[in-house]
Amino acid sequence: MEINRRDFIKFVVGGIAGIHVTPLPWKLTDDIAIWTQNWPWVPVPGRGEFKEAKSICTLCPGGCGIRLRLVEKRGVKIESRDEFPVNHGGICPIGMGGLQLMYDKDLRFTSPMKRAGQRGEGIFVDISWDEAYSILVQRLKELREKKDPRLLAAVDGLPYEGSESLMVRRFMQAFGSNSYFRLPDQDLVDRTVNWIMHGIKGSMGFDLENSDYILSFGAGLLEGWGIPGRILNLWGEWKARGDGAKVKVVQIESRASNTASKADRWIAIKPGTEAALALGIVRELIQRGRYNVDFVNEHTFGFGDWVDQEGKSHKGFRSMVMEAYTPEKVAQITGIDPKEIKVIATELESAKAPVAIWGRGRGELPNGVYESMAIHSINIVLGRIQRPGGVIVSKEVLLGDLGPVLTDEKAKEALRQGTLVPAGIAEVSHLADLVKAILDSKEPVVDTLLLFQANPWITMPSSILLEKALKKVPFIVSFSPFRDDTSCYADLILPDHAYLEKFQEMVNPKGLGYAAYCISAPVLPNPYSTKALGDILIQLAGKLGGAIKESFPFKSYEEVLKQRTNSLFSAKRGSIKVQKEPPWKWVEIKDSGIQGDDKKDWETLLKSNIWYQPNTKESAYIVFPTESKKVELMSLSLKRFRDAVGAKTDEDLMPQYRGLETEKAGLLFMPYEMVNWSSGWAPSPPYLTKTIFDHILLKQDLFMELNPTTAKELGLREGEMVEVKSKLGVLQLKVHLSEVAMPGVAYAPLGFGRIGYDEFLKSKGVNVARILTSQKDPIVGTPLWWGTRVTINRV
Amino acid sequence: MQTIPEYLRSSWKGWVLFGVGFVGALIVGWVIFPMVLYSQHPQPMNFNHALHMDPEKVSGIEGDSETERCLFCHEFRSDGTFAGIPKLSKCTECHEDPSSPLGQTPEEKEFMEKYVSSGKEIPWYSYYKQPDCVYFSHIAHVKMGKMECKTCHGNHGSLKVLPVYQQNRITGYSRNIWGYRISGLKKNTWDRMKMDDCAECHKKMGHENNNSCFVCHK
Repeated sequence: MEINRRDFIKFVVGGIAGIHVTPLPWKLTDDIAIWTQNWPWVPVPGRGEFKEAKSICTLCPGGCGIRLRLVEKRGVKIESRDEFPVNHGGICPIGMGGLQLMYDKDLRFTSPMKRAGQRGEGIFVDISWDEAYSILVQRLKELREKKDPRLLAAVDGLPYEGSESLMVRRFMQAFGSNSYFRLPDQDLVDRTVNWIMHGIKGSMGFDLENSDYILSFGAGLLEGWGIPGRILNLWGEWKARGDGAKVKVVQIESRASNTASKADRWIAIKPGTEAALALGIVRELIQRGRYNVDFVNEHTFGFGDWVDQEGKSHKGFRSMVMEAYTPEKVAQITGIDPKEIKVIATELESAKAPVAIWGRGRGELPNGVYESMAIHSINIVLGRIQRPGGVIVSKEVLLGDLGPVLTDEKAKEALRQGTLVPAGIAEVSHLADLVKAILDSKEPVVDTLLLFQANPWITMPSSILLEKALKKVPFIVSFSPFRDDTSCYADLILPDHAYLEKFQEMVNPKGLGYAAYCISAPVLPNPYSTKALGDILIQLAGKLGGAIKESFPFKSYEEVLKQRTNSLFSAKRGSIKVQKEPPWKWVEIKDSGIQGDDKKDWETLLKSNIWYQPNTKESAYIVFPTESKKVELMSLSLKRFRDAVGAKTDEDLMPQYRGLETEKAGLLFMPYEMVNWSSGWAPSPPYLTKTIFDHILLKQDLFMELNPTTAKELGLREGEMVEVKSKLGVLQLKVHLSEVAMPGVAYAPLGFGRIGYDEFLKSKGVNVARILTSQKDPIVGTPLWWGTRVTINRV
Repeated sequence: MQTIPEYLRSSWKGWVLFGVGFVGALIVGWVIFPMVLYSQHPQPMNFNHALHMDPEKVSGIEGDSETERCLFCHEFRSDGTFAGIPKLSKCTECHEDPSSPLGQTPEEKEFMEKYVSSGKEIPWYSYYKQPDCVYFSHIAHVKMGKMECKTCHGNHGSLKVLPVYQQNRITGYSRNIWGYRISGLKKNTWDRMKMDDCAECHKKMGHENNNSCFVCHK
């Protein structure tokens, strides 16, 4: 039988028609779609029984309480804890994504490593712990015996009051080095302000749970300021209160950030001039006589003009403010209508519990000391110190110390000689001091640099200078658990556990309004060859021997914590049980849970994860340990350091506005931070890249925000690639036109352009901090970065 | 008028071939396709549900109703999650001693030797596993909805033999989710367990609001 083409086609058509009347094409299509859902390389949490573990999160100095859901010892979800006093149910995007930081192998150092490429390339090879220890110990021994022990420098980004940081300082002292540097961040500035004005060496907090009017000078409440979990939750609570009790937030910043957009009022101020506005407001309050006269008279020093013991008369704070911060002068400096000052003053008067807060953006980049003092003086003249809803300046956590540090002759001799790098005031030096010394001095000031939980490459203003300095350091050791950008410059890595794998603690979480100590035991097994930092320091000390070894007579970091918390228990203050009444109710503790048995109390503490002491009525009656025994509006402490801080007149010892000297030409260039992107030492969980809008980051290009009028003047269009040039360097950014930006100012987000971590974080965008020019704060020398002027050219 | 050449002329052969193609496709689609699409996996050992569900034959499994007896082994944990196919510890609540079996079947003997004595978990195939994107709460349906197990799972509990686990080679899911009635035309509620089937029942029972996306795809 001959079959022609037509017949054959009929056969095929018959087949096709037939197939459509069978389930085959429909089921196959559906099955193929489902097949794409189940590709084996798509990660899926394991199935099984859920177990829950409670812990805290220390990715930022927040110490939020978190709950971890586990399946077969593997964490599958992080959630917040409603009952935990610090964050009471809130959590931030970075904390939520913490499991990605734990399990992404490309983000972590999985074992000790030795550099195998060029500095900055981040190429390492695995070595054993024995080899890592022997390399470091040999170098340190040589340093002690043949050179100067002070050539060992430590850059410490660990929370200052924490046990790990205490151990780092102990190690340095026993070794014989006083080359200890903190990061030049807002925490350093705030502690300095607390010391200068209240005489207290410790951190301040804000009792925001009780405030009813929040005057925020640039604090990014919705950008991650303070403890993000706490604040994000609190914002919701503030807005949920009934009409009579609603909390009013007034945001003062140049850019319409999320906080500004959602605040009750946004005041667009010329960047860097916040202190002038603050003092203008203080002047208005003083002029009206509507400030807390009792508090000022009883508890402050330097308000009125005064005469000293030698009979010399001094101008007081009041006279200074009345003269220098008239509405006209303030308007000229800040660009704000004088009427606005009157409105704010009226609102402050009528509020029952107002508070002024500061700290640009997230509050990690440093403010100036004078400007922080100026903003804080609003709180002082209103008497909002140690009051509900105000500023809490005394938060004592009575952890025990670790006993005397034993120093041998070599160490004693070295420490007697002072520091190689000029020390700052209040005895704390920071990285900017070190960078300057490395670049400027002819003699070497550091031989071996140790990095502890610090990633200044990404956030330190003018980080291009940091890079130059790091290249000159002979040997760099990083203890970071993550492959951060600064560690790419290290020669040796001794990796710490990542946070959920070790004992974590947080002393006085950032900005909390009461004394608290959060602690948790490890909740996840450690799958890699890392060690807890505390244990590394103990072992290192052991291998160095002698007095250094004897200064670390501990078996483990856990023992250190047990020893320190014993003092907390025996002090019989505060509570290790979460009370029914939340701590911001200012009520006495009824049952503290402290039984007086160290072992039992330790177990109770690990179960609740917190010790805290709420404020009570008595908290208002503290003695300020300043020279005058009062809150100093004119600082006698600064007087002692007159020469170091260049304070020539009385005005120089008072809160004030000091403009940064910037060039006249060019646009002002300001960085900004986001709540869903990390610009600190902890990496952003890579999944957060999905939350970054296309007008901020598109593929590899980062965008700079310009007001449309500014863009028009410069002849720039949306999406154009431009070169942004400051005195320090050049960056390539794309232009995004937005009304969010103040005319004449360009904004770009921090935390991008990384060189460390994995493919999802690396090389996306550029690191804005590199080209920020900075001037030294006159008091602590921290980099003041909001005066960067840039020129913009088309590419 | 030109005559159409022979080789281009339409003929009855064409229509026969059409029919052949049509019928062939029907056979491929209805018979061969299901045979080929599913792989067969007998369970690692046989478990006689009918025996265990009969209170006269087996006394340890408590429960007044059939559903309660199902829930004795396929239990709800104290936090409300559903335990699914029981672990070995459930079986050994009664079958604890390998040297004294409770019956005379060869299956039990094999069970004791292979699993109880070594404490090894039986690697059961699960017939009703849903995709990971689906959040299904058993307790909402059983306790709140007061549904019987057999409404969704059929007469599984009265079977003497465990059915062979058939797995779709492309998707990896059990045939119970779609394929037994490959036409998709359902006779019983348990013939298909895809999204539309859940939605259909929600609508019928007056819970149409449970068909919102976020209820199941959290």
